[in-house]
Amino acid sequence: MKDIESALRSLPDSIDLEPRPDLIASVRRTHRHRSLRRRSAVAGVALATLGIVTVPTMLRNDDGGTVNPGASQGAQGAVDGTVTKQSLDAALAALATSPGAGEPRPTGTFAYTHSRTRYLAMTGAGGGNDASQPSPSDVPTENAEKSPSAGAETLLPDQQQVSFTYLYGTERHIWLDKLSGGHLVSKPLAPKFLNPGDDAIYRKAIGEEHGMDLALDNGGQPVNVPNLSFDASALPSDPAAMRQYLQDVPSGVDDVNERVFTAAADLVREHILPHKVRSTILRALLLVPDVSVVEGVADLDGRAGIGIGRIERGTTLRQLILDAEGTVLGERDSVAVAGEFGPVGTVIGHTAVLEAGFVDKVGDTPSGRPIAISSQGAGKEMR
Amino acid sequence: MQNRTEGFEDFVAGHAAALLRLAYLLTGDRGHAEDLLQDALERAYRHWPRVVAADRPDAYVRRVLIHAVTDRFRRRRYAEVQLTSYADRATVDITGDIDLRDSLVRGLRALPLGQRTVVVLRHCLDLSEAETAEMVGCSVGTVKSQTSRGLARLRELLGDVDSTTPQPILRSSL
Repeated sequence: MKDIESALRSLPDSIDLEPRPDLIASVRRTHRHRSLRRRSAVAGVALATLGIVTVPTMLRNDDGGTVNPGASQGAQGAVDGTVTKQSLDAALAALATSPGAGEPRPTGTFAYTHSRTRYLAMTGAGGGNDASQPSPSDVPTENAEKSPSAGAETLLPDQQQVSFTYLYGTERHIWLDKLSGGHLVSKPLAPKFLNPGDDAIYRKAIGEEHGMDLALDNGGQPVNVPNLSFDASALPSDPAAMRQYLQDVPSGVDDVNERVFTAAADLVREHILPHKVRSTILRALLLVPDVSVVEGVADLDGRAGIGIGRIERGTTLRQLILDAEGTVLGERDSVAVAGEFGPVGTVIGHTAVLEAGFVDKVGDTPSGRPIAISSQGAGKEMR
Repeated sequence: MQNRTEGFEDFVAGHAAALLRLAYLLTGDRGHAEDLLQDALERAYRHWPRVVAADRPDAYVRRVLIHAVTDRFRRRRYAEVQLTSYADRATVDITGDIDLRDSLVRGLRALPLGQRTVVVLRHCLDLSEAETAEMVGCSVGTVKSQTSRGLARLRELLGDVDSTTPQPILRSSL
């Protein structure tokens, strides 16, 4: 008689799978295309299923976020409500030459960032697989509460065309040092559901989220954190050259403007960069024709700032949010054309950088509030 | 460059098959397993000197793979979470072993990802609770509770595994 445990133990050996013969070659090929780590983070949503939609000629202002009016000061040179690419560019140019700019990254210390994120996750069918036809009674309707019977004893994920969307949230603390690697502590926030009833499906399919507490090496990390394996001082110092550089970052994206936006966001996200470098990256973004700026965009923490944004793939407004000093407060993704994820303005990605600075060791923060690190993941195996 | 990645090919020759099977157990889908393996190996290749410097390079890459699964599950926007794919499902085979294997794989897929991961690591790969905790990046307590919930759920789904009789729930859609 076999019990479950022994059946599980012999399971791997019973699986008749062999790696493809061209595995090594294709790893090398992929590697060549990824010289700079590309994060999909608040990446806009590629809605192939939506088909062609009209691209609005003007960016819409936000109508979904909580805006804290007191927090919006506007960038230097920008007048409330009338910030333009030109005025923002001038403010950022001034920032690059302001005292204290160009500070080098201290070595032997950790760049710490604390952020809160909400990203879109979607499960379910759609990969073009020829799924078996489930019986109609087993198929949850779009609003799953209409068919509670689909829960109970029926296997949910494996046998039905399940599709649900939610925003999963994390509170992230990252310490990174170019030389010694670093650490990530990530705690789950309660998920937000775009459709009523999806919470029940979520509980079945995903269940308990337990967060992460991991030692990181520098970029060989198993999770998405910034890549430090580039030399910020070697980046182009001129916005036009920077734009070209960003455009050439390999990413597999066809749209040139999207490549620039994505590469720029990857560089400024959860990074502490010298003012001059950050300024040049943001000014390069302003050179992109379909990028627009607008004031009063709220980050996940409710702080309002200037949004540098573009509509990606005709469907999603992606915005980087800056404060008056040109510091990146966070990012915001919202529905630009009503569709699968709801009406225009529905937030489908949102982040806020809450604290950033240099500290001496993992667990320290600039504000002095220590963050508990599990001893398990601390540096073991990575060095 | 030659030096930097020295040993990579040997590593792949020695460990790719086991990693692929792990990826399959975590996803229940052959195509996804192959993608994940490639993804994990590319990450390892990128930082190969660190991988070989680790106490256990295979454990290191395994951990990379596990997190690649989680990443994929969450971050990929579309079509990555194939909770429903039958594309690579073996045709029904009444002989016991294959049937049992399919039932188990499907049972695993029916578990929430967290439970599935710890059950696979603890019971298919025979890792200790501490090793599993380290690999997943959670506490030993979480490993214990998730494993016991996962096993209980599997028992519920599969009933006794001593029989080769097809399980009604798991076979209902075939």
